[in-house]
Amino acid sequence: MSKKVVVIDDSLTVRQQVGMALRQAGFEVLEAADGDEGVELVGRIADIAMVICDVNMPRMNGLDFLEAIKKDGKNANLPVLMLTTEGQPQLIERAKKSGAKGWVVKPFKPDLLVAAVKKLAS
Amino acid sequence: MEATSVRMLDAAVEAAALALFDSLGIPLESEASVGRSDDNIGASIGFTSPKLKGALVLISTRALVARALPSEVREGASEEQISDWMGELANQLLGRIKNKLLALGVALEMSTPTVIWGLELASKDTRSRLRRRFAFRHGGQPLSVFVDAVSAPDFEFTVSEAAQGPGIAEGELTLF
Repeated sequence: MSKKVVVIDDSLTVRQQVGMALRQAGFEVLEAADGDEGVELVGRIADIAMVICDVNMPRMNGLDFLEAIKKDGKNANLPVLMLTTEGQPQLIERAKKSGAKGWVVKPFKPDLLVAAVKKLAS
Repeated sequence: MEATSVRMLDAAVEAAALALFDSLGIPLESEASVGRSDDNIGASIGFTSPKLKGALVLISTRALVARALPSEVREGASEEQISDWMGELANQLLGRIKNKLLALGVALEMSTPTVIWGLELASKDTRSRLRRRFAFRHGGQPLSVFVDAVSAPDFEFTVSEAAQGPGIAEGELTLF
């Protein structure tokens, strides 16, 4: 059975681009357009293998999403990779302390992203 | 803001725009004046920090934005995709500018983008103390970047060893 990866980004195009790369690599992709939708999705689907999440989004941003899901003990080992335009060290440090497993600065290279997902979701 | 700081901002915006579109296979040429088109699309995104705040406006044509779409989704792209990508371009452009300004002692907070369509879109003069415009062209299609900002009276960009640049560069991936 394909592993499920949740992609959270307010850009439809970025979700499509990430989704195409992951589906070609054999993953099942679920999409959310902001942190609020992401929290709902992660709470509703039990067997998610990992999450890829933008930082700057309306309603709930990616770092607040990360902190919100990590409060729930059942997500303690759920790998989260941040995919963003941001490179500010303080934001990277906040993500790291909150339990993120990696950080990608856009524009991303699909082959590198797929390799990271394969490693983190295994 | 003194002329030296304005030149630093200009250099950051111009370098960020050239690098972003080059990474998308759209090498830009600088132009002396802002080009007009009846096929315009624009995106605005706000930024703030304790001493510098304002907005960045990116204006181009639907044709050029469609050409800048990721190759995986370029063919048969819908108007929704082109609008969405215009917002993402403004987001990525401001992200690159932010990363350059980190090394000059300023950490901007970014808003999310708003996309607009229209005929002959242009950014008009405002009451902003700082208003910069940058004109480019690719394959006959115009692209302009406007930065409108206000700064605190004592604000200047500073190059110092204490200022941290971006922790991770554009296009890079780091696992913790």
